[in-house]
Amino acid sequence: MDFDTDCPELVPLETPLDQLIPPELALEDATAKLPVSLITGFLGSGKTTLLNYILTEEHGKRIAVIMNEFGDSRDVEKSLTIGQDGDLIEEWLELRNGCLCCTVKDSGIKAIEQLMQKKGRFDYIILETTGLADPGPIAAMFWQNEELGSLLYLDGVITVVDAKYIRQYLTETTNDPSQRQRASDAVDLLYTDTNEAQRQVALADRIVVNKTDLVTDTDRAEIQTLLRKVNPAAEIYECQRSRVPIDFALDIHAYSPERLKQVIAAQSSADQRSQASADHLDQNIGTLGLTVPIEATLSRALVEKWVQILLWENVVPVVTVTEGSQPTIAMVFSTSASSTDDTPALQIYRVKGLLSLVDDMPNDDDAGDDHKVTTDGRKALSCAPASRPQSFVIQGVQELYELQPVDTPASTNPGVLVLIGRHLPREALLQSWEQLVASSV
Amino acid sequence: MSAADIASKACQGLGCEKPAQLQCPTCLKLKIDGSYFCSQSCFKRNWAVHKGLHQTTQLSDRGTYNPFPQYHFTGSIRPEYPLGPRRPVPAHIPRPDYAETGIPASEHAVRSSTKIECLGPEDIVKIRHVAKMAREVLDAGARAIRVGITTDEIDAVIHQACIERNAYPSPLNYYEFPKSMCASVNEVICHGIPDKRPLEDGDILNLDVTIYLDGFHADMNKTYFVGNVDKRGQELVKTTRECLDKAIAMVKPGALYRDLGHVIEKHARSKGFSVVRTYCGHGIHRLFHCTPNVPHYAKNKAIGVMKPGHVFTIEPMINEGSHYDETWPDNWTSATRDGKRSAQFEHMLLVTETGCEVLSRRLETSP
Repeated sequence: MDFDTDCPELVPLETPLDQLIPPELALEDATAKLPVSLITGFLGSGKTTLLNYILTEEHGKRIAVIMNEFGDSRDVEKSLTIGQDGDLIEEWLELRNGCLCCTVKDSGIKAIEQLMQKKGRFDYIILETTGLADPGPIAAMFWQNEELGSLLYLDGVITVVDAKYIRQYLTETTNDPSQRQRASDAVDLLYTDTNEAQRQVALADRIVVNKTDLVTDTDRAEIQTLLRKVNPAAEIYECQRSRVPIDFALDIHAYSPERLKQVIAAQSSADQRSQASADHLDQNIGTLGLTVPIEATLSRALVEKWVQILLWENVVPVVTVTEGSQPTIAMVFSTSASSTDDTPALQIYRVKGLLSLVDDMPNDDDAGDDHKVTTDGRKALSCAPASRPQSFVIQGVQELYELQPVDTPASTNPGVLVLIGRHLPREALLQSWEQLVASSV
Repeated sequence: MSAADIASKACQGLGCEKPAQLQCPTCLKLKIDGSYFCSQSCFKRNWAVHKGLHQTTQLSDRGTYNPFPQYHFTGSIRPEYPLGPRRPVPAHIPRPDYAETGIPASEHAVRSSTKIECLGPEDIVKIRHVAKMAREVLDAGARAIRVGITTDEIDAVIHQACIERNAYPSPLNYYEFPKSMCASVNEVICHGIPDKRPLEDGDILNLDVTIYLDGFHADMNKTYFVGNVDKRGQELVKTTRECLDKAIAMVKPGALYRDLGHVIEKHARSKGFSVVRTYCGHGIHRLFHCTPNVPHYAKNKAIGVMKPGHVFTIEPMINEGSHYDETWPDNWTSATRDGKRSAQFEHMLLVTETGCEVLSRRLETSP
């Protein structure tokens, strides 16, 4: 530790001892939480150009950019670049890993907080993952750390794709060595795993299609269609040399329930269309839009159970409706058939939805409400009494998910649940969901 | 301070005798008089020389010292060093992968997985035995508690109790932790390093023991009274134990890990206490820490459904004041940010077909 090396700020002579506020306390008092954006994209897609562009643009923000891989337990030092009015300062952060009692507050997040105590507040943090990184666990980590009273919140995931190569990356399958070879011919892709490219697009809140000057108009239309199939919920921006409007990339509040509500409302018609065209990418990454008719109201407990089995057990939930009693949901692992290698387990990357639910969850009183403040500082709405339907947004990243009540009259829109993931058994999922809907009153 | 006093202060900068309106905050904390400066830039010029003033490490009459004299401790507990050399573990005792390197590589290997392992019948027989041995070790430490004993002396007792059972004390060198158990006094929430501070009448002391034996870890902790503890301290400890009991009552197949925090926080709040959020319960078997993550606060996003064969800990840390924590410069000790006391109890649980078995339950011989 460097308590001895840093020259502290002098204090006035009259300062009484008890008014010396330790820096940690000063930070805790700061009301505004700090947004973190995750920038992903393959090597050569233009991430660094985008970063440099954001760092040098006039926006009056003091931005910390964290390069290199984040959350890798073996790295003990991370390079950090701080951009302020175009100045770049190199800093080396010492990270410390783990704790005797299993802290989930990631060491990287602690390091950022410590850096702010030393260097003063930033306005924004951008995390650049290496080209081959799966942004899922990193996004999930930031999202989960929010509830630990962290000063940071995840603003959104921006994925930069190279217009010339993205179709190749997205359509090739890792299992197919011949296709893989072709990709290697095109560009030096050491350690290529196409699933990473698909995952990066699937997890994006914003997609920057870069280098559009290298492709034709027909190509551009095809790229749009392809990206929409993998991720219908992200906004897409086409550009050259990574020049995007700053507000397309930063301060997008992708995880705030209000924002999600708008996105879903805007996309639900598009989802219907993409569902109509039933093709998808080689059984690989795809999207499934599930709907609920306006007149149906689902039970929150049942929906949560359904989602939990899907996200945590990676199987299609089995809904059983018995005459005269509550429907039950179970997970069935058909051990005889499904454990063969040619039917890989389904995996969900993102869940987004807006549903009208009857809040029949047990144990839901006000314990913990003090912490329940949304990322923009608004207090979350309290739950309506049971039996009256209420609108909820649901969102999930990897295995994490969350339901939050929103201020929308229930049952004015059809319910929507969008699943983005890999190896989604579409028919089985649709059937399971329909049974769940049919079970509702 | 009168105007005349202020006017008489001269800047301590070399060759500078301007009137000083400012002072060094570190000297103020250390109660070093006369560190007045005219400006930040003058202070900065003289910093290299001035900071030597802060280095006055004083030995106590016990021959111990505080290794972080500059650190703004949140309460009255101070570390008392030297810690002494690492206690040796005889060569015949099998050790976990981090014992030499400090890095638990086997835990890193499954870091990104959220799957929870179900132990089979043979593993369960083993881990049940390891947990019983760990309980005996914890009890041995508990019997040593008295006013005046140092936590390092209790560490020696626990280290010896491990070795007598052919067990490795799991905390030792786990991410380079220097001792064989954690000892957390009063405002220290958890991960306190046993040192040369003698326990005082009225302290509350948590002993957290983990042992590695027969390929499995077993982890448990309890908070004890040292001498006469005041009423609120007793309430804090009692409430913390009740929080754990209420959570354990919920453990059965099909229950959600995320729901445990709800009953813990509800009960803690009903008594006016708060729940620490930074540290969680955890899975434990061949690895010291693994999935699931078990938060102790309400409305968490914890992943997973309990199934027969899961083994994990619940270990609520309950604070007298606010839930905020802060880590000492030793990178381990976690203390409450407001300096008020914190208590903790930990049990290690096996999910059975019908409910759960408390693997770390008290023994007939337990004190």
